[in-house]
Order: sequence, then structure tokens, then C-alpha cells
Amino acid sequence: MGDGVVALILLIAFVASAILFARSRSSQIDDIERGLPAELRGAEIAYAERTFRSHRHRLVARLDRAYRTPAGVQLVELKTRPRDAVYMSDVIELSTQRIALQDETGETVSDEAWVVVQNSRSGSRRPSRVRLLGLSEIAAMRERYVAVVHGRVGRPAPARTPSQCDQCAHKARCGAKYQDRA
Amino acid sequence: MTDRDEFVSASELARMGYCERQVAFDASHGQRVTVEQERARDRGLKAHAVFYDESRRIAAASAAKGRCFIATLALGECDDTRALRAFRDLYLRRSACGRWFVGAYYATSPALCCWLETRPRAIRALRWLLRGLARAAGAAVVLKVGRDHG
Repeated sequence: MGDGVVALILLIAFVASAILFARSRSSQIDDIERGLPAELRGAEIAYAERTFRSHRHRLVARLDRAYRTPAGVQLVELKTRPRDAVYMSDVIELSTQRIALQDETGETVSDEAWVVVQNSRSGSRRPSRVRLLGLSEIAAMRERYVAVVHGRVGRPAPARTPSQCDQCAHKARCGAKYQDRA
Repeated sequence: MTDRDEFVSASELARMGYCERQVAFDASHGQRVTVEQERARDRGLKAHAVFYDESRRIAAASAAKGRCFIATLALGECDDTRALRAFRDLYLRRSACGRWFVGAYYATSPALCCWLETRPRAIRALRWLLRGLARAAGAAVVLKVGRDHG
């Protein structure tokens, strides 16, 4: 029997056993990968719940999960919300994670990341792709953050819409000081 | 410590994207949370604990895939192996059928690997088959990369 025939038999045996294994395991795999984009299903997890620091840019970030893909490391952030929405704050958080991870490990991190929003009522998850901010934008934001915290910004920017203030514990104080939010 | 030395966290910066005034008030009056925010934080912590557990299980499944018979047994670490991996990432993982095949492959390969270890003739035959597949995969990868960047 030639090598080619043995190879063919092996291939057939593999495909047959693969079908049996896959059928028995597919529901289990789907469960732990629920809410993930198709591109990341089956991909290798590089990091989970790990903190990274950029000493150069004085940034620290704890990431939820990161996958190793051909496009570089891809970040995934889980958010629990009553509705499926992605905010600028998510993009800022992921962009900071990207800088910290790149600086600490030297790995290339993709400038696209995923926000997986878990509905706080139904528990269902939905992924949204976001494009991350660059280093200069995050560095400028860091400078401004430090200035705001140290009281060097005369009139800090309010939330984009008044409805965002509904849940804020400083709402009354803010209204009294700035007179522009009821 | 000067302002320049302070480490700023990703979540602190993210709050700037929501409301700078809240950041300023938290700094001057201490961080305040409403009952609803407290509840939301608890929900978030629970969801993250589940998400982390899922991460560990996915990572464990990845580790179980470690004994890839193509890389370790038949071909070793070489251009052919890399071509097959690139094909997996660029083609198979981008479709439902492909992902199903990858999952099936990883599910079956450890058992097949054990069986093959004592059968050098079968390994030789497999090497012959895989080299052909790797050549085709390599050509497909070159085509795909050229198209994506062209």
C-alpha cells in the first residue's frame, strides 16, 4: 500500500471522527464564546484580566480579554448596560489599554477593538467593533485629566446630554455651580 | 510626586469621555455613587467574573490544542506549518464552516497524535499529504494577502 493511499485513509478517518467530536462539543464551545464576533471565535486568548503599565506615558490599564490574531493583539472589553450602546468612554478605555499593553510587552496591538455589551436585563451579548484613538490623543487626554483633577481647568466640559446627568451623584452641586444643567 | 509622574488608569481617563465635571467634583468632594450606580457596579462585577471564567475555559481549551500533530509530529516548525496556520487564520476562522472545521480539528488532533506516535509509516504518509496541502494553503494565503493589501 503506497503512502498516498495510507494518507487518504487517514484523511477520511480524521474527517469522520472530527464530525463526531464537533457535534458533541459545539454547544459547549458556543456557550463560552457567546457574544463574540465571528473573527475571534476559536482564536487564541493572549491575556485575560491583566494589568499593564506604560512607564513612558504614565498610564495603567487592566484589560478584560485580548486575543492574538494575524492583525496583532485584539482587545475585548465587556460592558453591562440596559441597552446596546457603545460610548466614547469605551474607546478611550480601550485606547489606553492598547498603549499600556504595547509598551509593556512590545507586542503589536490592533487599532481596532471590540466592545461586548451584555444586556443587564436579558443577559444577551452583542459585539461592536471600534477604532481606537492614537497615542497623541490619549497623551493629551491624560494631561487634561491631571489638570482637571488638580483644579487647573476653569470650566470642565459637562456630559454631552443632560440625560446623562440623571444618575450622577453630583447633579445638584453641578447645577448650583454651573447653572447650565437643570 | 509631580503631575507628570502620576499613573493615570484607563478607567479614570474613560470618565473624561463621559463628563469632565464629574471627574472634577470627584477630585474635590470625593467619589460619590448613587444607589443605582452601586447596583450597576455590582452587576458589572458579577458579569466580569463570569467573563473571566469563560476566558480561562477558552484558554484551557487552547492549551489542550497544544499538541497539534501537524506542527509537532509530521512537519515540525517550518514554512509549511506557518502556511497552514496562516490559512487557518485568514480563511477558516472567517466562516462558520471554517471555524467548525478548526474546532473539530483541535478536538480530534490530540487523540490522533497519540495514535500516530508509534506509527512512523503513517507519519510519513501524513507528511506527504500535508506538504501538498501546505503548498496549496501558501498559495491561497499569498492571494488573500495580495488582495487585502493591493
